[in-house]
Amino acid sequence: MDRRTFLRQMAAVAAGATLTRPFGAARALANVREIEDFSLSIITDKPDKTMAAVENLLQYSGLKLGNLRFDEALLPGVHMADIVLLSHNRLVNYKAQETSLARGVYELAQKLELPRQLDNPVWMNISAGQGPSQGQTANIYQKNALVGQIELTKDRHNIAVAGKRGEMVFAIRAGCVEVEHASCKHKTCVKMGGIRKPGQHIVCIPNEIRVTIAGENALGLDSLAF
Amino acid sequence: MHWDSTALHSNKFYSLSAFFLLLNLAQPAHSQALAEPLYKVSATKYLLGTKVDFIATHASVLECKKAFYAAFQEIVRVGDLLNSRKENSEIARINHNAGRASVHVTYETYAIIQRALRYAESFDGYFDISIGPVVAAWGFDGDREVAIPDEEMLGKLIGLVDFKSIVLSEQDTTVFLTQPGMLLDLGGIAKGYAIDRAAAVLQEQGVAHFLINAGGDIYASGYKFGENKWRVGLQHPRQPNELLATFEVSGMAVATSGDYERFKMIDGARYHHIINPKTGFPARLNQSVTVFARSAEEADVWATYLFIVGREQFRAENAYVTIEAMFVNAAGEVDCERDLADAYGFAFQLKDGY
Repeated sequence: MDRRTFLRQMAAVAAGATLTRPFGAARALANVREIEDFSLSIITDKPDKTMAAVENLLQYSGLKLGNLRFDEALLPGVHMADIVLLSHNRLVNYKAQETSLARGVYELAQKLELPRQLDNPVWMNISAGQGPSQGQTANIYQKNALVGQIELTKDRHNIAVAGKRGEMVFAIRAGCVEVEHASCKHKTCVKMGGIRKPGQHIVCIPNEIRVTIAGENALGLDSLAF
Repeated sequence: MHWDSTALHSNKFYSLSAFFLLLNLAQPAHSQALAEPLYKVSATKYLLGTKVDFIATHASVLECKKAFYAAFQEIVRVGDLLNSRKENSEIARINHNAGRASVHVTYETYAIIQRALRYAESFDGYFDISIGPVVAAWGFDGDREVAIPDEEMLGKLIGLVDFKSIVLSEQDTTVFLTQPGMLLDLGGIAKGYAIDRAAAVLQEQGVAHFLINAGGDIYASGYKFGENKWRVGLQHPRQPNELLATFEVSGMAVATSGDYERFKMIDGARYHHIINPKTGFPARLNQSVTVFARSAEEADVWATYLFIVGREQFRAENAYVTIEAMFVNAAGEVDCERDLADAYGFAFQLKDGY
């Protein structure tokens, strides 16, 4: 994978968009001064060290940062590790910009010797501001590993994911992700039907698989009681 | 949905609600210096046979993750202690020795059984941790096919459900099940206790603002950001992808018992996992009951009990209760006090929204 492909994919991951959808990064480089709405995605094999550096970086960035979201997941397999900085969903060329955040991110990339290929790295994201709100991608997690991302705009069948006890098979139908088949006995997840709104999820407890729709929930919900 | 007009004139409910409001206000909101950003950190693990989520706002992601790790470990520890299906757990050992010998257990296990027996006593046996044999006969105790048990067998098993046959000795913290075949099942209390323990660990570790969700039961502490309380959606009992309501909580536990979490439709009837200890059959008065209480254990137990006995019984005994509840009865009608709705910023989400 060349660097351009990687950047496109990472930008897409950070934006909560699909891995394969083209991203208009080259057309619109964001100005880092509007950075109070940003998303910093890092693929690394040293998550703790990286996070400590990022915390330090943000605290002394001079930005008015109130509330940040932190997410992380394991990425099984071989991945090109790097750092992607987005502002207002646009790619920031941090090598070329002279703000303290851009410089800090550039230095961090050098310190972590990125980009380079890593086995089973950790993906982490720190974001501020609005962030992505579009529910166009379903993220599939097995335990705490991000094992798949599916675009909801195209109908698909037989998306199989290996779980703890067996297989789960997903389908995309009319913009919803649903479970076609689950290997467990009680089929709670099959009975649930399809989901399509950001923040919604389907969970299979026996297989330790969950599917979430990327983005912030429209009602600002933190959790679901049931 | 209808509001209960008689309850509006009930001083008990007004004063109860005022009590909760005062407690909520008594917690200071954390002020946020702009220089120190707060991170919203979340983590998920599959424990206690369900999904456990932690969400917290904290100035340090790493410190928060350390606290999460310790709290997850605590849930594992409590789960191992109280899970009747885990070989050699203290509960499994008590069950194994039913009718034979009293079993020495840690004070922690002893104390939770003692509390469960107090609940059983005050709930007149409608909450009973000796429900184990009946739950097992239905197949609700694992990844098994649910089936209606043979009537004769169920009749025999229901005879084994009797909390008065659980004999405790405080001096040496022993537990004895007097009848062979008795089985303890702490399903109605263990999850709540585990949530409370995890909450205590997070607080000890310096995380003050968090929400724990274990299989739909919640404990919320502090605030999300600034003075924003944690915002929770309540799943609709008949439309899994819709919300029934949203509400906001802080320093409060919320537990729901519903007939939709684990169930099987057999000949058009819904057979679910909340068994009436008196009949041996799934309770039928409600679709769901949501309880607000100071601790997750209290919320968990009350939700199970109220799901079985229903709204009328709750009204009859509300003189001494320290909790509040919202019912969705068998016909799907929502029933709760208006001041409960005021206290938690209830907004009913009829269709859409989520």
